[in-house]
Amino acid sequence: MAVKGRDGSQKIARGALAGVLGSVALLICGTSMAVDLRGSLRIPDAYATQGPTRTNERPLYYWEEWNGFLDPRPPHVDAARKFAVVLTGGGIQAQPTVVKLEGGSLLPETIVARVGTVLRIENRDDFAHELFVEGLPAFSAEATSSGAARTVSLATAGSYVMRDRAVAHLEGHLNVIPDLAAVGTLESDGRYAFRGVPAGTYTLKVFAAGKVVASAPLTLAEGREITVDPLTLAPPSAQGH
Amino acid sequence: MVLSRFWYLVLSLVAGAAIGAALLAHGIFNRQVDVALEDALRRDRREIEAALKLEARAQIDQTAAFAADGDLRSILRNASARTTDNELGDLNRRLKERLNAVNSGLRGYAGDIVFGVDRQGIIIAQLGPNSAKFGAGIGTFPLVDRALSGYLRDDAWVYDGQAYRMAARPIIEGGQYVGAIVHGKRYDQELCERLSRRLDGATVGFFRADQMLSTYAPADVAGAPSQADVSSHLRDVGQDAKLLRGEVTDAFDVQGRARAIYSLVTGSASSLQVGYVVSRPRHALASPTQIFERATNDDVREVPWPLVATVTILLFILGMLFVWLERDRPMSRLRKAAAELGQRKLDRFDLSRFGGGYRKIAEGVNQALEKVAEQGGIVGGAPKPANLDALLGPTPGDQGPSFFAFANPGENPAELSIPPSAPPEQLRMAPMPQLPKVPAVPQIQSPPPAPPPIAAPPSPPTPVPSAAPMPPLPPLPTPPSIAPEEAPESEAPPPVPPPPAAPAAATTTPATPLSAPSRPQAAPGTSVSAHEGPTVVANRSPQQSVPVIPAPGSGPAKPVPRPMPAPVGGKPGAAAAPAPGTPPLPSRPQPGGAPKPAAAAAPPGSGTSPGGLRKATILGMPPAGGAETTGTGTKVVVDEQGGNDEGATMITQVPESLIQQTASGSFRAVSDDQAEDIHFREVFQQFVAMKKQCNEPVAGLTYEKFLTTLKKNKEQILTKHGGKRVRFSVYEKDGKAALKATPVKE
Repeated sequence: MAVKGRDGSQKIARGALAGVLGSVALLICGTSMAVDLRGSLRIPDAYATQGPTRTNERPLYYWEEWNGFLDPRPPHVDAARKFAVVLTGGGIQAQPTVVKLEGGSLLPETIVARVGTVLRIENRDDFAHELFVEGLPAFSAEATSSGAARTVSLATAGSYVMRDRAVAHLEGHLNVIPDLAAVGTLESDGRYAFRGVPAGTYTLKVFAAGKVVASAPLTLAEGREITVDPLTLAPPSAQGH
Repeated sequence: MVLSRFWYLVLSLVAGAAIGAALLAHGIFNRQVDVALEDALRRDRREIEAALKLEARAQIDQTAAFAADGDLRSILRNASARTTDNELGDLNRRLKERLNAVNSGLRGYAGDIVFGVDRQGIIIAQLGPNSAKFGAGIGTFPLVDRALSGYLRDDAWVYDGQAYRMAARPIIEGGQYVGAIVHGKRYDQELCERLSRRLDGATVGFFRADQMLSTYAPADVAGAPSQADVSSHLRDVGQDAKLLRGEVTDAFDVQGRARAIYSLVTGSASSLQVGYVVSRPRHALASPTQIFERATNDDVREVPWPLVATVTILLFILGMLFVWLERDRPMSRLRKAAAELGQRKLDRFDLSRFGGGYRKIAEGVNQALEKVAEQGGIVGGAPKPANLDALLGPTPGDQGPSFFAFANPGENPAELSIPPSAPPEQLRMAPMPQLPKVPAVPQIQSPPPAPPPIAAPPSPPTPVPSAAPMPPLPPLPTPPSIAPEEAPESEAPPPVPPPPAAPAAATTTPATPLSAPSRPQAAPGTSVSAHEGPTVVANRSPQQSVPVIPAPGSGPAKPVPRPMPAPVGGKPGAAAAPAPGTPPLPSRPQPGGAPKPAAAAAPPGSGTSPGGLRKATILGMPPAGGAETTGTGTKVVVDEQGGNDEGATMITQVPESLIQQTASGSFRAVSDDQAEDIHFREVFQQFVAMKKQCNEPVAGLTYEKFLTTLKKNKEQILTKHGGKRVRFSVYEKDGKAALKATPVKE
C-alpha cells in the first residue's frame, strides 16, 4: 500500500506541474501573439489654421493684432486633440471610449466609439460643461460640473457634432462605427501607438472631425512591435471643413 | 332754401372731408413715426457696435499694464518653466498679488475676472469669483490660444454661467512667450447706461438666450421701455431666423408703446445667443386730436392764422348771407304782410310775393280767411263757390282800378260836357240789348256845356306788383238828367244781352261803328252811338289784345278793347248822350305817367282819330283824371287824338231816336239788385266766353257758384273800401280768363 500511495502523489504533483506549465505557456504564447503598432501622421499645415465651425455669421472678435515685440508663434496643431487613430475590423471589440474635458475643450475633439458601447466623459476643467449632440436623444444637454463624469450609451452608428451650452468655442465630433477594434494613443506631435493588438488583418483609420482623413490596411503578424510608415492626412479643405 | 341746403351740404362735405383727412393724417403720422423709429433703432445698433468696438480696444489697451509689470512677467516665466506642479501654490499666491495690484489700478477698466496663464494655457492665478483650482486650463479658448501665440485680441465669453467681454494679451519675458493675461468685464448695467447716454435716450440691455443680463432705461425719457418690456420678446427672438444667422432682427413691437431690435454680440459668445437689445418709445397718436398736444410754439407760429381767420369769417358771412336770403328776408316779408293783414290794409296775402314754404303759409292763411268769410257769408249750406281768388288778381300793368280809359300825358284831350243827371235813386238804367245799326250820328249844332271833371272812383289798394299806380280817377259825374217818371220800377229787368262778339265778329259789321257788347239804353235826350251807353273801361295793359272796332266808313276794322261790363247802377242819365259833336273819349293815360285831362272839344263830326277810333261821347262815366264835375253836368276830358289808346273806349253820339226814346219814358228803370244781377250775369257770360277763348275748361262752372264768389268778393271789398256797388270786369291774364273787381262810390 505504501507503494501505491507514493505513486498517486506523484501523479498529482505531475498534473499540477503540467497545468502550471501549460498556463504559463499559454500566457507566453498569448503575449507573444499581441502586437504593438506604432506610427506617425503627417499633418498638413492647413489643419493648424483651421478654426471651429461657425454657427453664425457674427465675427469672433473686433480686434486681433500682433503684439509688436516678438514674432508670433507659428500655428501648430495639437494632434492629440484634433485627430483620432483607430483600427477597425479584425473581429475584436474595442473597449469603451473615455473622453476628457480639459483646458476648456474635449480631449480628443474627434471621438470614435463602437456602436453599442458607452461613452464616458470626464470633466477636468474648473467650470461646468453642458455637452449635447443634436439629433441624438440619448445625448441631450446635461450639466457636468467640474470633476464629475457623464456616460452616454451609443446605440446608433453615425457621425455627430457635439457642442456645449456653457462653453461657446467647444466643438467635438462623435463617430460611432460598428467595427471599431482599437483606439490608438495619439501624441500632440502626431505619433500614435496601439498596444496589445491581436494579430490579424485590420484597417488603420485616422479621423478628423467627422471624416476619415487617412486609412491603410494592415496585417498584423505575430510579433512584439510593428512600425508602419507615416500616414499622410488629407488636407482639411478636401474634407469640407 | 336751395342755397342754404347747398351750403349745409357743402359744410357737411367739408366736415366729412376734414374728419377723413384727420383720420388719414393720423394713420400717416403713425406710419411715419414707425418708419422713423425703425431708422433710429438701426442707427442705434450701429452706434452700439461702434461703441463696443471702442470698448474692446480700450480694454485691450488696459491689459498692457499687466504686461508691463516685471514681477508678473517673472512669475509667469517661472511658471512656464516648471517641471513639477509642486511650485504651483507659491506661483499662484505671488501671481495673484500682482494681478490684484495691477487690476485695482485700472480704474474704470478693472477686470471682473482676470486670468494669468502659462504658455500651455494653464491657469496660474485668477481674480474674480470661483478661483480655478490648480492645474485647470483655458488654453483651448481661441482668445487664449491666440494670445499665447502672440496676438492681442478681444472676445466675448460665457464663463461659469456669466457673460464677459474679454481681452487677452501675451506676456513676453526674456524673448519668449511665457504666458498671457486674460482680462474680462461683465455686460453690466454700467455699460448699458454708458451706451444709453451715448444714444441719447434709448433703452439698452444685454441678454443671453431668454434671460436679460442687464438693462438701462433712461429716466428722463417719457415712455422709455423698461427691462420687462424689452425682455418680453426674448423667447421669440431666440427663434428669429435673422438673429440665428447673426443679423439684426426686425423691429419688434413692444406692447404698442415702443419698438426694439435685437442683435448678437461680436465674439464666441454669440453662438450661445448672447446679444444686446436697443429700444425706443413710440410716440404715436392714439387719436387724431392728440396732434394738438404735440404742437410746439414754433408749429403754432408757422400757422397762417390771419388766413385761417379770414377764410373762416368769409365762410361764415357767406352762410349768413344764404340764411338771410332764404329765411330772414322772406320771413320779414311775411311778417310785414301779416301786419298789414292785421291792420286790414290787405284782405289776403299776395302769393306772388312769397316763395317756397312761406308761399304755402300764405296760401294757408288765405284759405283760412276764405273759410272764415264763407262761414260768415254763406247761409243754408250754399255750395262752395268756385275759387276765383286765384283768378282775381292784379291786372297786368294795372295802374289802379278804373273803369275808364285815360288820357295820354301831354296831349290836349277834348272836353265833353255831360248834362247833369237825375239823382241815382230815382232812375236806373237797364242793360240794353244789342242795338241795331245806328244811323249816322247827327251833328251837334251847339257846343255842349263843358262837363264837370269826373273824378274817378278810388281804386282799392290792391297790391299790384309791376304796373305803375294809376292816378286817382275823378269822381263819377252825375249822370245826365233822364226823365224819371217814365222809368217804371216794377218792370222786369230787360233780358241779359248776349255776350260780346269776338273781334272777328266785330269786323263783320263795318256799318256798325264801335260794335260792342250790350250797353245800357241811352236816356232820352242823350245820343248814343253804336258804342252806346256809359262805358266802363277797365284798366288794361297796352299789350292786351282788343277787339276790332271799325270806324264808320273807315274800312278795315281796327282793334277795340275787350268786352267791357256795362255799368250797373250808372248815374241817371248816364246813357244820355251828349249833344252831337261831343268831344271824343279821353285816351287812357300811359303807365307811369300822370294822365292829363283830355282837352279840346272835338268839332262835331270831326271824324275818326288817327288811330282809327271814332271819337265818342262818354255817357255819364268820367275818364280817369280827365273829368270835372260842374253844376250842369260832368265835364269829361277825352283824348282828342286817340293816340296810343289801345283799349280806350270811344263812345259815339247817342242816336237821337234813343235819346227821344229815353226822354219819352219808354226806358225802363230797374232796381239796384236787378241791375246787379244783370251785371253779374253779364260778367258770368263774359267770363265764360273769355275762358272759351283762352281754351280753358268751363265744365263745372255754374252761374250759382260764380255768383256766390262774386257776392263774397263784393262784400269783402265793400266792407273794406266802402261804396255802394262793385263792378267786375273780365280780362285776359297770361292766357287765362281773369276778373277784376272795383268798388264804386256814389
